[in-house]
Amino acid sequence: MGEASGPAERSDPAVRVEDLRVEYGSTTALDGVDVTVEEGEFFTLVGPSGCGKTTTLRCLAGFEEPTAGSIHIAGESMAGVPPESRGIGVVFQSYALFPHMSVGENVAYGLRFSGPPEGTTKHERVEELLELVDLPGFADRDPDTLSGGQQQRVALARALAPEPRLLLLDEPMSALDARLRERLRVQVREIQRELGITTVYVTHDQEEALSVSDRVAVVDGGRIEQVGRPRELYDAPATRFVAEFLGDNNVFAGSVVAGGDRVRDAAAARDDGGDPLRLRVDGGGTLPLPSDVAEDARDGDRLVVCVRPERIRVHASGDGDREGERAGDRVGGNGGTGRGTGADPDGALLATTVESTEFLGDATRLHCDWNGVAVTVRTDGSRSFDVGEPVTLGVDRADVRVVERS
Amino acid sequence: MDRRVGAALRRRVSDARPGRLLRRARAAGPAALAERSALPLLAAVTALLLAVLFYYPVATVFVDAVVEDGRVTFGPLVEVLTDEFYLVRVLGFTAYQALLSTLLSVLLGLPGAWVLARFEFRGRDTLRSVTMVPFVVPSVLVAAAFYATFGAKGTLNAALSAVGLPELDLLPSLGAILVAHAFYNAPLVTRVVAAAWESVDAGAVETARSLGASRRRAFRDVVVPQLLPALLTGATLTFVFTFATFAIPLALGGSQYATIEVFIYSARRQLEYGRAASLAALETGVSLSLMALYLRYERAQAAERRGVRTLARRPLWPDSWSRERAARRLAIAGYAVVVAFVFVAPLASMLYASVSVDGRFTLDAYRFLLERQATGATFQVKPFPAIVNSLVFGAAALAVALPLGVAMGVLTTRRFRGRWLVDALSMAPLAVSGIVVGLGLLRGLVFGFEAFGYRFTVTGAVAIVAAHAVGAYPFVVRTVAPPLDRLDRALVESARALGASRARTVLDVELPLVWPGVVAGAAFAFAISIGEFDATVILAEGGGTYTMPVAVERFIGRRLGPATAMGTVLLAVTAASFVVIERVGGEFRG
Repeated sequence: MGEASGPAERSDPAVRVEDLRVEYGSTTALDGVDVTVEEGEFFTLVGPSGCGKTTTLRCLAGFEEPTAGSIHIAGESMAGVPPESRGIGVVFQSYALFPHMSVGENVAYGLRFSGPPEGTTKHERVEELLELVDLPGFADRDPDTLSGGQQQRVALARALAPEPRLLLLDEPMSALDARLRERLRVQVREIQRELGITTVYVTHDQEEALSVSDRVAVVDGGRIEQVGRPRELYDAPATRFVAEFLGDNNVFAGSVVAGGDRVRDAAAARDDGGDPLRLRVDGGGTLPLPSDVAEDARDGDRLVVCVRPERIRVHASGDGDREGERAGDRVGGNGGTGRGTGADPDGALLATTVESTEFLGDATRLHCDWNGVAVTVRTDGSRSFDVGEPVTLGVDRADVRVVERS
Repeated sequence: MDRRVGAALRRRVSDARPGRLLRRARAAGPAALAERSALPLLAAVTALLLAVLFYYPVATVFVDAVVEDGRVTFGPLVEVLTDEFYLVRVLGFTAYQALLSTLLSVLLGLPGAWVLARFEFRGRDTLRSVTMVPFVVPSVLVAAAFYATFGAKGTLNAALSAVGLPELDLLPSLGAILVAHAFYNAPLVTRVVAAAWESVDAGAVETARSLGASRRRAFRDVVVPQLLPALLTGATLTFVFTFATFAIPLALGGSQYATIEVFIYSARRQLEYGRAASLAALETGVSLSLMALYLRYERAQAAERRGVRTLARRPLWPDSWSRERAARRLAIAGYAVVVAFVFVAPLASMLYASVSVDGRFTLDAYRFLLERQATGATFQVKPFPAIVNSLVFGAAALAVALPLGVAMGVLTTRRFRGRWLVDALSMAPLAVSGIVVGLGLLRGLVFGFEAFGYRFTVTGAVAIVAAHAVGAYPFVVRTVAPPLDRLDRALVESARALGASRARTVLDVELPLVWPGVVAGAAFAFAISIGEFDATVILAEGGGTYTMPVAVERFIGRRLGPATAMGTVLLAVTAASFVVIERVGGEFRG
């Protein structure tokens, strides 16, 4: 153990993971993960399959022995503490209800070891939990007779019955169909808030992660790429991976140039007091760069930037003026038509043609070709576009995010 | 959600939170400590039992092979290895008959796999389960059945003379040995190949066809490569089993067709333990090497196949006939005749012979079994004590083998490094013949060993139970481990997270879910014990501890009636075990 594992103090976070490493032979599953989860927080680990999010959760639960690093739950070191003594509740993707026990026996199983909370009986506690998950009166049912969603709610009730300090959810919705998934995640979130229980949630579904969490950690290749509130991560991705993993994104790599094609020297442009820097996209035209980049960028620096498809305005070339006005309304008059690309310091207009369209119901996604560079745009769907139609795309300087520089 | 409930829950959660872990941790008193150390303890006890019952005795055989009067000598071993008689006549013949037996088993088993995997007919599932029967049929039973069929006074000769044909002298002969081996091993080949055939994905065959392969070509390119590993498995196991064959050549081959095991046995009867040990060490070396090679191959092959759509089965009786279809059906009919001749006729003859003398119905043979006083000195082996011994040893062996097998099953399905080694060590008794185990137990435990200044000896009866338990427990492992392995790991982890210790999880979750496997394993273990001959005959020599199979072997060739009657009793016991395995554990077959 080594470290003092005294009783929980007020200042201790609910979970503190430091430099967690897991290696299987020569493969590294976790490559130094640091996570802090606050009391009562709904914290989500999201990432592609094999990224290490589930391994992290399994280390928290004690099912997996870390190669190095430490885990503290409420200030107590978990080194050498078996899963049954950690005070956790776990819900798995496969529900994992004990098939030889009734729903009630499943929920009561954990109470065999911890006993029901003071002032209640086992039976009362089971009914209480089943009511909590909206399955009152299901105690005598056989788990096999329940639907997937119902089974998963029983699994949640079972995990909560012994009053765990920490709830661990491992892809709990992945086996359910889309509509049910949405309903259940709202319900889980409600119960979590109601109980104020610290929750660590693992999912590969970025939409799920953004919609339910207080904070999200994006995991890739056994490392945490970025931690933050859902909106922070979406609006300000710190890395190219985060930018591409959360939601749709256009990612462009290119070199810094000053003032479009006219001034070649970035430092000189800055000294001149204002012609802002632009990015010459590999194989394409130029994009404006946000002002914070201008501070330390050098001419010729390699950058990767991203622009969200829904932040790009579409100006159909045929009805330029009207579209321009509409678009202008949305972005505050910055994106007028008729100017050449590269001239506007706060934006850019890209001349493209529509390659293909995707009708999404509430929106339409356009895949456009910008001199050989692919650009995806999301429109509100009020107007339809034809394949091959020339369109002008408006990009605001404020919507361009730098996600990688070398 | 009900607000009232929610509020109550919230209050409890906030009341309870500080120090809740401590409450659980404090619950870890001596009882919890015992629970936590239960599995390591179980592992230690299991290892100790295996060491005493199996590894130590077998090791003594190897030591005996190279130590004489307390000094190391390779004399007997070299003698055996340089002697043309032993090298060619014994080892050579043993390998030769094993090879022929393997060929015959494959020839007889393959069509069965084809019929089972590719045709739909009533009773297909039953037929499929019946292929498991040879595992529980005692070898002496087969020998008795062959005597009743092909012996001088057997049903075949009775039938021949009834139609005026000359009688045949078929026993002893190499052919009888080979057919008896096929009786055992062809169903094994059928079983493993049919299983592989059924796991061929119909989609793969259809893809090949859509890419331009003819039916024959798709079979050759897609199906055959997936059947070959299974065929190799069946053939290797058959070779290993028939290389270490004992009861069948002893009963059907006479001195003319004696295998290495028969020579070990006769060396032991002549009290030449050095020679017996040398031969045993040699044989075990060959068997273990083959088994190790096989296990390595199997591990390399191991791949998970899931969600395949099996090839559609054709009806055995087609709606419309074509020349090709008719030819196939004719071939199947011919195969059915062969199967009836090899598998059904012997057992039927045995039943018939047990209730008839010269074509007359009589229960004399069964009456004889129940006589406590045998008819004087004619028989050293009395039938009634044999029955009692068999049942007592069976129960005792079950009492050892079942916990041992379940423990082994639980331990080998844990995931840890070096698990394959534990797997292999625990399965080794399958590759070491009963003769060798018997010899080892005789030398190591019955003759006694010295430890802590005392001389420990066990009686022959205890040694027999040990031998039976060692032979039986791998079957328990085989019925318990696969369903345990298939259990969703999340079930175990859920129980752990809810506060159950590792040992509690085994009792609360894992064992209840694999219970049918445990019952099937128990039936297997009992059947194996009841039918065990090889080790028993070594250990029972000259004592009063002979069992039914030993009695059958003694009766064979002397009096057909008692031999077949006792064979029928054996058949009834093993059939009952089979029904239990099939009914209870059927759905868990791997």
